[in-house]
Amino acid sequence: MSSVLEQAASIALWALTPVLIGLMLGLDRVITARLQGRKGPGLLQSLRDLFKLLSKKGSYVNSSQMAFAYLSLALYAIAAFVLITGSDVMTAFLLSGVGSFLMVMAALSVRSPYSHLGAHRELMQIMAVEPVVMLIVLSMGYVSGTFLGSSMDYVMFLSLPLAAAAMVPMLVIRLEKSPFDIATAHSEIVSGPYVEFSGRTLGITKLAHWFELAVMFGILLLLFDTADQALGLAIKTVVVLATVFIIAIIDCSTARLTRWSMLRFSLIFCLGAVALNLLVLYIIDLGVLG
Amino acid sequence: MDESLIDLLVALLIIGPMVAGLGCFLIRRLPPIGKLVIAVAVVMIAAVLSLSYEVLSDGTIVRPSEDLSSFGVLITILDLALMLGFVYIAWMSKSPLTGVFAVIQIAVMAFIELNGVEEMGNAIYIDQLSVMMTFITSVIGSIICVYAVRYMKHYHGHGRFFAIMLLFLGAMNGAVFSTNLLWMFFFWEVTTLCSFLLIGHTGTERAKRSAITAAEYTLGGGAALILGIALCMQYFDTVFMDQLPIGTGIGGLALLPLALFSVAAFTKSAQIPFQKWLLDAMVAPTPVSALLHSATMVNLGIYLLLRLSPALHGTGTLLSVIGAIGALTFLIAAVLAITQGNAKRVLAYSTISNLGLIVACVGMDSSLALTAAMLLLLFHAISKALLFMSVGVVKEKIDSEDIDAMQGLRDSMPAVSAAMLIGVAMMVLPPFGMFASKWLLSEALTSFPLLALFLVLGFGATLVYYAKWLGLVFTGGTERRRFHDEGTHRIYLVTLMSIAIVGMAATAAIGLLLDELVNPFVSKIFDPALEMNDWVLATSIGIFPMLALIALGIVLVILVLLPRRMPPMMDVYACGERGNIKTGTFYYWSEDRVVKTTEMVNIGMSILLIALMFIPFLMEVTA
Repeated sequence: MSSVLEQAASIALWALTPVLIGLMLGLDRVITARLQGRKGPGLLQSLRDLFKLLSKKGSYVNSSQMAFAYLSLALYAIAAFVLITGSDVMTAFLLSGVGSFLMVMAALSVRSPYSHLGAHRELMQIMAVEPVVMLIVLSMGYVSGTFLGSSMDYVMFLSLPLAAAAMVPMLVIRLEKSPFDIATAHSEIVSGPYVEFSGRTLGITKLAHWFELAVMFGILLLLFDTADQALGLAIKTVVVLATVFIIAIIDCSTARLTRWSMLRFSLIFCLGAVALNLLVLYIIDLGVLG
Repeated sequence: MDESLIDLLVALLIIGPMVAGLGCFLIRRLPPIGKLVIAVAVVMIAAVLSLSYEVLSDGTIVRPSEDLSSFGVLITILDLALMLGFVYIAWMSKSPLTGVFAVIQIAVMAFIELNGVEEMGNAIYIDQLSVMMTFITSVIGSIICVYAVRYMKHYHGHGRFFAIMLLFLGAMNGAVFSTNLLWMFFFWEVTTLCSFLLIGHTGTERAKRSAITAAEYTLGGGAALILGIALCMQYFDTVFMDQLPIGTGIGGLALLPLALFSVAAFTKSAQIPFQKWLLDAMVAPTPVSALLHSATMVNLGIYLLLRLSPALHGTGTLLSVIGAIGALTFLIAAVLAITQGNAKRVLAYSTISNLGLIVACVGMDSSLALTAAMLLLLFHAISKALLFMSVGVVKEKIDSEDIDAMQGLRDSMPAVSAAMLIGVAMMVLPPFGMFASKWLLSEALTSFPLLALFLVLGFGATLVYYAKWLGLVFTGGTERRRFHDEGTHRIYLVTLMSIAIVGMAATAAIGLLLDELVNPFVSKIFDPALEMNDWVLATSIGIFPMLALIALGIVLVILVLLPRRMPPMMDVYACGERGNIKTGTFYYWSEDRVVKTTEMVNIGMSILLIALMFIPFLMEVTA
């Protein structure tokens, strides 16, 4: 019976994801404003923005643009569902990767140089994030001997500290924060791949992005799972708050870097860190076995 | 099924296309050739389906070589004639390297024949792997031949062209049905000859040069193969692949034939550093590229590795180096594909890359990885056929293969764009088989942390090069009409649609494929690790909800087709700029850098190959 209840709870959690992510982004805006000495918007501002966009009529350029955007939302949402219901993490990650692919397709499907520029930068971001997060998921599978989120080891953070650390720059990139706000560069090509969306369709792309963030944060939080549910919830809340705070500080204290420096940083240092972590574990395992 | 009926089916698949090819050669005129090719396609598809049914229901079909000894003599004679043919080609095209390789082959053949071959074993051996290969060759290959009937209208020499195309299909079937290495070697070299002739078909300087390059590389592989066969007789005392010992018991110099076979496979499958011939082969008419990349040629190398996987199983370092070569090829070719502007070149690099992935799977030597390898092989062939054929149709219309020139195809050629979308979707989108195999492979990777590093990067690069291309194809303005006639010939539409249907059917029947085709083969070495329960693909470490994704696909298609209220359509904002805006795509690296990287990579990979050849000696010394 409890498993049915747990399932129902996780489905409810999935349905609430946009709210949670919205609140988190609101918090991020509050913190950023305080760091910059502004009053800034309230905690609910991101949610209000989304709600307003979704209730608008908007317009569209052609049906491919529309179709790819909705398809992307569907895949991100399914990915988040798979992850939250404790199913296969690798499946969730790969599905969310397809979501990113489709969002790029949506941005490329209109004749707008700015949208294309954003799409190509988004591709660079995919190239920077995908391999690192995939290796993190693989190392989680390696540590636990399974990819089923619900059967994974507890506090994997202890054996994969570098993977947890590498998740932070990945989140910086996906949250489109300085120094890696490449695709939607503020005061440069503003909103990049989303530039040709408006009204409800823009809302859809935002919602899709939120589900993607849910997958990214979900993977991070899996590293901090504990046997004790209440304790786990407390730890996870602290982790999310700390991550948001750290990212806000990074955002406020750095200037934008180039695409190439993002790729170099991500694929050399972050990927290297995760690989190093994995290698150490592998050597320890070999030693234990031999 | 009756024994003689099975014999007839096997003969139909090997000799049938060759005879029909001879017919094409004699007819010479395109319209009757077209009818003949369509008839051959129907017969081959029917034959392959019956044969598959037979193997899947009654198990492996074997024919001992005693019953076929006259064929053995015939093949030896033809083999010699073929080699002399290659010497002639080398003479005519002044390619000393071709000559050297052909002479080596003759010498080794003579050595083998003079020493006498103990022919006690199964000459014909058709198991699940052979069925899968012959399915790819006969179904996809013959659809490509039908496609060529229209495409070749603009070219000369129809009789010769279709004769070789059909001979190619027959030779492929022959190679995957033979378990006698000498027979397989013969068919292997026939495919080399066919690819040489087809690549050089147009007769331009460039085509001739590419053809001779292909001959040099693949004949070199053939020389490695025949040397391997001679050593195989020396160390294992057999020329029958089904009699090779399991790899765990092989050590020292006895690994040498296996290393040589791998090198032969790498040349055929265009693994780095042997990729040049496949890239140059682009000059051939598009149906030839489609045939080389999806239905024939490059699959033969992979087939050899898969066929030898029991003998390679447990050979440790040797297999690891093979896997490393595959993984590096996967990554490097994927990165180079990003830098290319010509659609056929992107596809060529992506073929090299994907085959590298399959080689890496073989190198991983685990149940999950082998399962992934077989699924990848099948879905890659389907998807590549679709993509090459689409590029061919586009080229006929806009006379360009450049990705930049394909901008906005969705408006001018919606059906072909849809075919491209399906082709790419099969590579990257769920629930198509390729995506399922990627998932499977990812789960298999948990045991190989260092290999994982190359593969995760390669997966990222793969997404990028497909997104760049497909994105431009689907760049469009506001729509005025929903559907219009794009003037694509109906042969193109029918063949493209057939391949798409094959792909979708294979995806929907993935459970059946696993139970009947993949798992029986994998279980020869490993316990099958993947099964399908209630439409969920399940391994011991993860699950993949196939039905949920197929259902999602169906729901989405219905949603797209349903009429609904749409918001108003508006042209792009484009920051207020007006006029006919055309954007190019990014290539990230200059051509110069690509050339330099290729040189460096070739050197590095050659060193790895030499290391591969030294492993047996090293093991002999240390043992």
